[in-house]
This record gives sequence, C-alpha cells and structure tokens, in this order.
Amino acid sequence: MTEPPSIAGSIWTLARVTFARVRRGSLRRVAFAIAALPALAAVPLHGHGGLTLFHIVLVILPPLFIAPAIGEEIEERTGSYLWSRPIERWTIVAGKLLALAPMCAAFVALAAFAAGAAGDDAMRSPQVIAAVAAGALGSCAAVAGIATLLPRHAMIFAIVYQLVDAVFGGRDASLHFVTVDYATRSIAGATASSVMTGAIGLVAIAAVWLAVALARIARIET
Amino acid sequence: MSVVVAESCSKWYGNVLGLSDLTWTMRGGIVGLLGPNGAGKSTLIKLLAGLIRPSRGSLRVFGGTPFESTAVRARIGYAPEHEQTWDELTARELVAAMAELAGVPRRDAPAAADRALETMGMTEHAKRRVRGFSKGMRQRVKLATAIAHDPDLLLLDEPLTGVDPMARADIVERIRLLGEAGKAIVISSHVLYEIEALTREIVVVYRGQVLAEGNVYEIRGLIDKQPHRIRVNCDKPRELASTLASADHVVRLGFERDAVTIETRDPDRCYDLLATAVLDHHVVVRAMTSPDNNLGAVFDYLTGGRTDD
Repeated sequence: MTEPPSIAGSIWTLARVTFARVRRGSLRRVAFAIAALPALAAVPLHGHGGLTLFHIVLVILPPLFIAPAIGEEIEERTGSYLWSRPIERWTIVAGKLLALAPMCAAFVALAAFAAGAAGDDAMRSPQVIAAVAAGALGSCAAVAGIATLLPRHAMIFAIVYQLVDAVFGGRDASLHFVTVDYATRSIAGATASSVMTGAIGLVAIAAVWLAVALARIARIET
Repeated sequence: MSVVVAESCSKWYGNVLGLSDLTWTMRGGIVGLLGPNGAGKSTLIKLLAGLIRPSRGSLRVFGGTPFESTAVRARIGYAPEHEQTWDELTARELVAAMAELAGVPRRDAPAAADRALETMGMTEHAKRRVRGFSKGMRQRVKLATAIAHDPDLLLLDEPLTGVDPMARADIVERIRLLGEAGKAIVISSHVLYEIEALTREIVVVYRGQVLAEGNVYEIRGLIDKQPHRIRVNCDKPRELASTLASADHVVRLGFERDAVTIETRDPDRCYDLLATAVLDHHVVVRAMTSPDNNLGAVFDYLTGGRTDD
C-alpha cells in the first residue's frame, strides 16, 4: 500500500511542476514585457521615473504570477486532481509560492536593474534593487491570501489590493505601516523609517497573509 | 472490512441539494453509479474522493474520512469528469507528478507513470503534451493518473463520455481488467449501456437521492422500453445515417450540421452497427454522446413523480 508523501516531498513536487508549467506557458513572456517597462520609460523621462514609475511593476507582477496559479487551480477544476491526492492541502500554496515567488522577485529585481542601467538614477542602488525584490516577495504572500479568499477573479482583486496598498503606502498616514509599498520604500531608504522597521513590517504583512492563505486552502472544497 | 460506509450522508451547495440522506455500504468489486446529468453522481464521487465534506451524516472510506485523512486518500485513485488538466505537461510528466503526489517515491514515479500509461494504451503518446490530446486520449490520461499509484479504490466519474466507439470498448475492457485484478471501482455514467458492460451491481441516483441499488436486469428492462439516443458528431453524418436507417431497432434519425442523432430500442446492436458503419465509410468521429432524456423518463417513472413535488 502506498503511504502519503512527505510534506517536503509534496512541496518540492508541486514547485517543480509549477515551474515547468510556467517555463512552457506564456506567463514568462508577459512578465518580461512588464518588467521592461520601467527601463523603456527611463529614457524619455531622463531617469526621473524612480520608485513611482516602478509601482506598475510591483502592482502587476505578483498578481500575474500568483493569482492564476492559485485562483484558477481552485476555480477551473484542475484543483480536483490535487485535492484528491494524499497531501496536506496547505502544501499546495507552499509549493506554488516556492516556485513562483522567487521567480517574481527575480523579474522585479531584473526590472529595477534594467531601469537603473537605462538611466533611472533611483534604481541604481543595490539597496533599492534588494528592497523591490523583497517587496515582491511580500506582495506574493498577500496575493496568495487574496487568491484563496477570492479565487474567482483573483487577479482583479489582487491588482486592486496592490493599487490600494500603493496609494496608502505613499501617504503620510498611520495606515502606511501596514502596506507593502511603505515597507519596501523603507527598506530602500526612501522613507523616514529605518531599514529594520521596513523589514519587520514586510515580514509581518507577509506572515499574516501567508497564515490566511494556508488556513483558507485547508478548508476549501473543490 | 467495507470499502465505503455512508450513513444518512447529505451534501448541500448553498441552498442546492447535491446528495440527500445517502445510506450505502460498498464491500468491493465494481459498482456502477447510474443517473442522468445533475443527479448527484459526481457529488457522491467527490465525497468519496475527499474533495468535499458531507454537510450532514457521515461517510467513511476504508474506515476513515477522506476529506481529512491523507492515509485514506493514498488508497484512492480519482479520475474527474471534467477535461481540464495541466496541459503544459506531457502525459508522462503529468502522470508521474500525480503519482509522486500520491506517495510514489520520486525515483519510482516515472516507471509508475509508464506502467499506468501502458495500461491505458497511451505509451506511444507519453512524451506528447496533453494540450494537443483528443477527448479520448484525455480520458485515458486521466485514468492513468488515477491508477499510477496502484490504489485500492478507483473512482471514475463518467470516464466514457465523449469518446469514440473503438476507444470506448477499449477503455471498458481496461477498466474491467482492473476490476478483475481486485480493485474496488466506483464508476458513474448516465448511460446504462456503459455501466452494464462492466458490472451488474448498480446504484441508481436521481435528484440527489438513491432510488435503487442492486442488480441491473430490472432497471435494464425499464430502460429498454425507452428509446436510447446516441449523438454522433462526425464528418459524414448522412453516410452514417444511411447505413443505420434500415436497421429495425432504429426508431428515428435526426440531423444537425456535422452530427446525427440516432434513437434506438437496442443500444447493443446499434453501437455494433455504428462501429461497422464508421469503418466502412471511413467516417471521422469527433465525439459520441448519449443524451440522457430517455434515462430521465425512466427515473421519473421509477419515482412515480415523487421527486417532482
């Protein structure tokens, strides 16, 4: 009789399969196109786009990577294959994040690097590149939570959330402490808060959304 | 030990009743779930597979609850009704991944996938991506994902829907062999003819309720009084019909663009005749389905209209 797979084995298999699907799908090309935008815009704007222009990448890429991977799996019934397998269901989210979140962060970092190389002074610092990559990881966790709560139209809800996050993060109000945007800019050294404050804020936001995603996926019926 | 024990098991989707007060014991062998579309067959299979939980009552498979227990789900192989899969993968990658996720060690998964694909007659297509597969090939791959980890209980939801006559006969034979190998199998269909080829033990489901269970013969007699409809989507519907028109069991022929619908009082002979006609006229069959209006009429008769209240 076959025994259920280990948790690490489940996560690794799901990550491998997710990676293979992305490698062969159209997501990679779309992500490249979006990641190129800040670099393309840096030339006519003479390098004054900075983090403001970069928002478009941070708002769109995490939903693009994570929302379909989780939301469509639940809504478009391919999830029935996974739900019937003898795996802990939270490993589905964990496996997908393991494959996609680093990929998303790499695309964001690449976008920042390219924008810097194209003349955007604000994106030239390694600290800024690391900050936007970390911000992308935090956003991926948030999008995973949203996709498990609202799997139907997960991409739209995730983009709206990201926009709201960017709006509140950019304002000088108490709410900005709970935004990925503010945490990211703090890590980049672009706010009055310290890098450590930004890092702690980002980890806290990601942890809350991850807890939501992992708890929610265990209760979902497909 | 019983494979399945359901006691007063019900499932609601919001206000919609999926399954009502099911009390049923399955000890093994092949059991056919028979009922028209929307009767509750898929709900029962999803409950057995652990995709959903009962809203009321209890459902135990191998003594445990499938939604919660990974040990129970490790003993189950499930082929869903729908066609969606991870189309970017090859058949071999898909089946191997599913085998791994069912507990087959990673180093053994490719071999397990190869065996399962061979069992389902898909060896020569193993390295092709699922995206380009026909409906019949998808059904075979789905079945391969269900059997790759050598489960004790197979749950097959409408595995013959939409496949051509040759593939249908082949898949039926392969499922029958799995049953002979000792697997407990629950197979659903809205076509008695399909179920009958595999087992005499049936559970008749209609509007979320189990109407009857047991031997197929009595139900068969009732259904044979109703014309059985077969819709064939193909490139030469009129040539196909010309062969069938003279058969005494064919009651009516209906035409659409690229399709012919046959009503027959003898499905066995009609399917045989269809296979011959397809080969004789070199007809390309795209899909073959059995609309279930006739079955619904029989179930209305069985319920005496009670479920309409």
